[in-house]
Amino acid sequence: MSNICPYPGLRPFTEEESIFFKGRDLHIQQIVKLLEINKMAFITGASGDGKSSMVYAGVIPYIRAGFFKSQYNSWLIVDFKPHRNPLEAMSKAVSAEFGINYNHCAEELTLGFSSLIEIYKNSGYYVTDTPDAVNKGKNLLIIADQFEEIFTNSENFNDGKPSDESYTAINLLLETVRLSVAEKLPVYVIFTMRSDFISQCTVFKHLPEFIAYSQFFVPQLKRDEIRQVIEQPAILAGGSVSSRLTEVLINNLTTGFDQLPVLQHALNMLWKTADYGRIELDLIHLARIAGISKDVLSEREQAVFNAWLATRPDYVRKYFAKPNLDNVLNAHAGTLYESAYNYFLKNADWADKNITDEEAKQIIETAFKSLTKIDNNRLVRNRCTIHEITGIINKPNITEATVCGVLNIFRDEDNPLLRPFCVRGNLETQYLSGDTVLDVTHEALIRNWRRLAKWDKEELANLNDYNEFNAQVQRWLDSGRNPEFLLPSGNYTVFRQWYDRCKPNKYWILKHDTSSRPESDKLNSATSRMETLDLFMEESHSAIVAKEKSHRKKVVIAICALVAFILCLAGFSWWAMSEKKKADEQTLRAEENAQRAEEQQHKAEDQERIAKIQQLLAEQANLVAEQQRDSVQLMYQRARAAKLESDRARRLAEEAQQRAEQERLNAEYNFLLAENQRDTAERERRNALHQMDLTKEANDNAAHLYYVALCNTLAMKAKNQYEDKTLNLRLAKTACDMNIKGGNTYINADLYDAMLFAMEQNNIIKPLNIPGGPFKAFAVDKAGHIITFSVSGEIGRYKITSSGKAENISNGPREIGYRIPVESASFINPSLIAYSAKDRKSYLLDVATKRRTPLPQTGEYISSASASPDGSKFAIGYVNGKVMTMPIGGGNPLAETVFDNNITDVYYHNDNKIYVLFHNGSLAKWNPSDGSVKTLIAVNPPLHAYKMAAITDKNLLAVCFSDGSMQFVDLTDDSTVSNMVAGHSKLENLLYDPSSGILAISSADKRISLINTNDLKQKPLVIEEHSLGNSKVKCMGFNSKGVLFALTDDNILRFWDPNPETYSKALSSMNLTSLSDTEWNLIMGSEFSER
Amino acid sequence: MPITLFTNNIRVFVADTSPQEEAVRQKLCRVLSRAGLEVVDSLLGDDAIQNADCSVHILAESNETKRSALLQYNAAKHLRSDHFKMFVWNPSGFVNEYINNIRRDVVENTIYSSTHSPIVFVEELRGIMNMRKDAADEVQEKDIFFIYNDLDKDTAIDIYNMLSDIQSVAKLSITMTNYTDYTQYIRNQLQGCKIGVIYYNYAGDWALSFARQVWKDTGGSSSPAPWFVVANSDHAKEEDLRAFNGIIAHSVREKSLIPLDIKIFFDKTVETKPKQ
Repeated sequence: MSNICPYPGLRPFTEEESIFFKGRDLHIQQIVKLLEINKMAFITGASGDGKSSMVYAGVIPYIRAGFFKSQYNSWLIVDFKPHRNPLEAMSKAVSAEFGINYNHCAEELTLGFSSLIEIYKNSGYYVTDTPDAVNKGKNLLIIADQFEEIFTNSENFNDGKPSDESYTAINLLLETVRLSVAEKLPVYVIFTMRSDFISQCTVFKHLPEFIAYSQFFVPQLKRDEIRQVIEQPAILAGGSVSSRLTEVLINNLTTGFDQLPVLQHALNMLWKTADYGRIELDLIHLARIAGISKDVLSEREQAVFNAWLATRPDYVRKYFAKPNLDNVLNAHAGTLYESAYNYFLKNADWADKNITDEEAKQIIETAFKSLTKIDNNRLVRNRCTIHEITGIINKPNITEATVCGVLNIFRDEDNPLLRPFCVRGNLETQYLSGDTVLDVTHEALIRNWRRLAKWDKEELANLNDYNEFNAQVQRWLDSGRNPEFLLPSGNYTVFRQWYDRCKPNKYWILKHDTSSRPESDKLNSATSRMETLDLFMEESHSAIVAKEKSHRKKVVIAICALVAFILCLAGFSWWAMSEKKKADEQTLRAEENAQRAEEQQHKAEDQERIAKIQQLLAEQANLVAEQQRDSVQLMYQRARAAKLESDRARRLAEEAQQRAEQERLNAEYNFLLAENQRDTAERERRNALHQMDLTKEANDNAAHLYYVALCNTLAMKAKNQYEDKTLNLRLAKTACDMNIKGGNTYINADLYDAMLFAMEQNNIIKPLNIPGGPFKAFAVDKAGHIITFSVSGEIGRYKITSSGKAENISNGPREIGYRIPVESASFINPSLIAYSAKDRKSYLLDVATKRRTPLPQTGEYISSASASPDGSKFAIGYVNGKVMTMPIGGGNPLAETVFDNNITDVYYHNDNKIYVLFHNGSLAKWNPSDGSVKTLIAVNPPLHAYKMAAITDKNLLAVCFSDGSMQFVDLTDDSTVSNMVAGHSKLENLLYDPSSGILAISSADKRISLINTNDLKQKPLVIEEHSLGNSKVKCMGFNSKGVLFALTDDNILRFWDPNPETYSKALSSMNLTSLSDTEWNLIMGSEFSER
Repeated sequence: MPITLFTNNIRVFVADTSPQEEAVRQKLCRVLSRAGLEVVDSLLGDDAIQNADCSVHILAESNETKRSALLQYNAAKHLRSDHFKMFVWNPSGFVNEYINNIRRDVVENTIYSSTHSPIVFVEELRGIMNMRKDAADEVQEKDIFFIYNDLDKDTAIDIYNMLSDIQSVAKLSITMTNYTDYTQYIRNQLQGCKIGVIYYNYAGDWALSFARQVWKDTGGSSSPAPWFVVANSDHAKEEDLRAFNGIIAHSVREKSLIPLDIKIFFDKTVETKPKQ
């Protein structure tokens, strides 16, 4: 299995990938029906419903494959997207497909109305007056994809009004449809458009009416269709999806937008995770792409999953916190964002690498903010060039090449989230010039990548701030730049913060310019606006600074004066107070000193007593404390030692536990690995054995084929008209030898024919020379004698001698004395003939006594007669449709009936079952007991049938037809068993020999095929035209030894042994000399080794 | 827009559930009846499931699942086949280890649904049970199914004649202006053959798209009878078929070598086919 992925992910299916597009078969047929009736289909649906995929991978391949019938055999398909100029896009597509000059085409289409039809009619693809017009002409299919771009691009549609180009393009398409219907032209138009823009179509005259009768609203997929979407591509690519995964995916699909893109993206990731489908897609793969909780997995799978997750970097692991189907795309995009810098360093050889990881992330953020926009409160994609993105980033070290290199991870073939996609290792697709337009592959990415949603929220806030700021600037400009209209301090702070955060520049402003002016005008306007914004900001800042300076000066002067006055007043008050306070304090201090001296004396006496007591107590306490300290120190040391010991033991236990856990995981992983390897080894062993068997078989086959080829070549040579006729015999014998070496057991039509030819050439096989005739019929009796019946009514009996001659052993007169010539005759058995004379009278004729008995007269000839198994009765059929049963000795009919058709043959199976074959190829069963009739084969359109033969030992009835085919009917239940082609032209006679199982069939091309009914797959031996003397066979017979006799149109009786071994042995016994080396080289060529 | 008419008489066995979910079960029975489906109630006994075309098993949050519900669940597991589908419904969306086990146990002909709405659930059930298989046409048992465009009939007939001498061949000529629907016929006839061959000379545009459509329609790489696209080097080049690399076997040859090429592909296919 190669690395083909049947799930395209976020991008639509291409026409080449249509082989994997499943689930929409019915819808494709409905769209084609609409085209057939209305010449137009207007396909609408929600974003992500797969409209484009349905057209490109569904409708177009269906049409091209010939399932949609139109006037011509071939198709010309013109497809375009409106982009920013629908007329230009249409002109480019039309000129490219029709192979005409673009300027001429664009000029023609500008005239609108029938211009497109005129181009078609004047091209070589509209052919009406030649006999093979159906092969020379081409039907025309025009596809206007993503028609909503008419409304989403401001150049096409602004302020509720369409541009001239948009109007003309729609006029052209509608008029094309109208003319196609009116003039019955093989021209068809398909539109695809998001359904939320349907109401805006009313601004185009007539478009609503056309939509009304040709709209196809893409239905939501039903459960079984989603199942097909999930399982069928994997099956088609030779893989499989487990039923439980299918059920989980179906149940976890959220309703609303992005159902299919999210599912397709997840399936793409699943396929790659499951080794490109080499393993069945299962729940563990979904868990690995963060699409489902690991809790759903079995214990063993969980262990494998945990071991795998542990090897992932932190930034990947965080996406596994809340796994679900919607998270798969978020996790994928997030992982790419984190690893973009390393990818850039590794793969972008052409770019300077002087950026940091942070700068790479900034490039991605700016790019995705630029590639999205808010439209009517919806986030939609916004195409922009690498040059524009680089301009918005506006850093000297970040060039267009750097931007391209960093974004390439999102364009990589494995992560096609941005268009145009690139192929790893293909520089042409990796390096893009600055004017290349980038586009988000699908809006599902915008809605499901949470980081991008956050960026867009910031971008929306920035845009709102810009609009507010721009309004202030506009008022300032309108006032003639009056300083009164500059920003006040508070507003300036708010906008300054925005300015520093957003860092707007001309490209950023250009991105948000929704006017319909030309790009160059817009860029000039953005440049001028940016300069004005900078100026306004600067002037506002200067005005605020000047105002603040003047105000500050006045305040400083006032504060200085006030401070000086307060200081003077405070100085005087402080001096007066301090003088009064000094006098009071000195008086008080004298009184206090006297009193304190007395108290000090008493206190000193008390303290002397206390000190003596305390000294005694302290001495005692000191002794106790010393004892306790020693004891505590001892305990502390013991506890510390115990704690150290316990810490060490705990550490050892933890380490052992970690080791054990790691070893358990390793063991489980190794176990799974070993199981896997064992399975692989077993598979490889079986493959090797199988290959050995195949090789041996191939060698054997090669040897076998080599000898068969030699045999066939020699056989072909043996059929040459050599002067030396013995050479034919020697070649035929050598062919036999090669056939034996090849182990082919003589069943080889060429060899058989060659033997017959060589032996005929040498008169070893020769016709029987029987006088009389012309003969009408013959039979071979049990003794091997030939009984002939001639047109003149003569009966002859002959014995074949050992030298191959016919010896007359007729008993009595040959003539029977009735002179009216015989028209038709049929041997009921070797002793009894039923025949019709030219006068339409029919008789039974006893071979032994030559006595004849009249049969009931029907006025028509006998076509066939057949004896019952016990030989007591027989059935006889007349050309005019009459059938009857009679006793073998003649007399009155036992039963009879008449059919509407001409009878060619009858077969008496038993008393309740007589089979009747009609000239028109039908076969009926007649029950003479109750007269019932049942048709078993009814051929439509009618073929002719002449003969049938019962293969009694296998309970089958063989019927042959004029187209060379043969049908077998089971005689036990009358069911049609099988059919086969037995000849190249009309089959006329057939005869079965139960002893050898050979069914001999003669055909109008003068051949007899010998079919071995014991092995119907075996290629039949053929008695060719030359063996039949270039004559057709009239009737045939087998003797008891299986030798086939045939009476031919030239009235000669010939015979052959259908067993080729007889002739081979005959050749071996003839002592023919082997081919000399010279003869061999001359006849076969020296490059072929004989032995 | 065709409206699907559900005319099949479908019998749905609604299995026992826990007492807490009994009300949900009752409502489901009523919704099934309103949807035109015949409800085979579990009250009729455990054997009633044998008379149904499918069964519904409602999962409950509580552990008080009836023993009969488990028995019926196991009975349905044994019955599930192309003719008997088993629907497991978890209306509460609750997940525990028991329910995870059931989800892991989902195999072919088992449908697990966690929608909370009985209407949505019954709509899905009715849709799945009404899927019909197309009636098979009479199939000719041949070695090779040989298809060509009427544009290339001159060379195609020669190749067909040469090929018929060495293998049995069923042929089909496609006429693009003829209003015959070939898809069903091709699907059926391929089942009677060992390989399918698409031949073209002038009709390259048609052949590439046609090959994709029939390849997809007949089972792709998993089809027992693989497709072989063979082009006449008069008007075709190898690079025209590059898109088929690794997907569909193909070759570009002179007309006289084409039968041999087909024979080689046939032998290789028959030899490498795993023995039954």
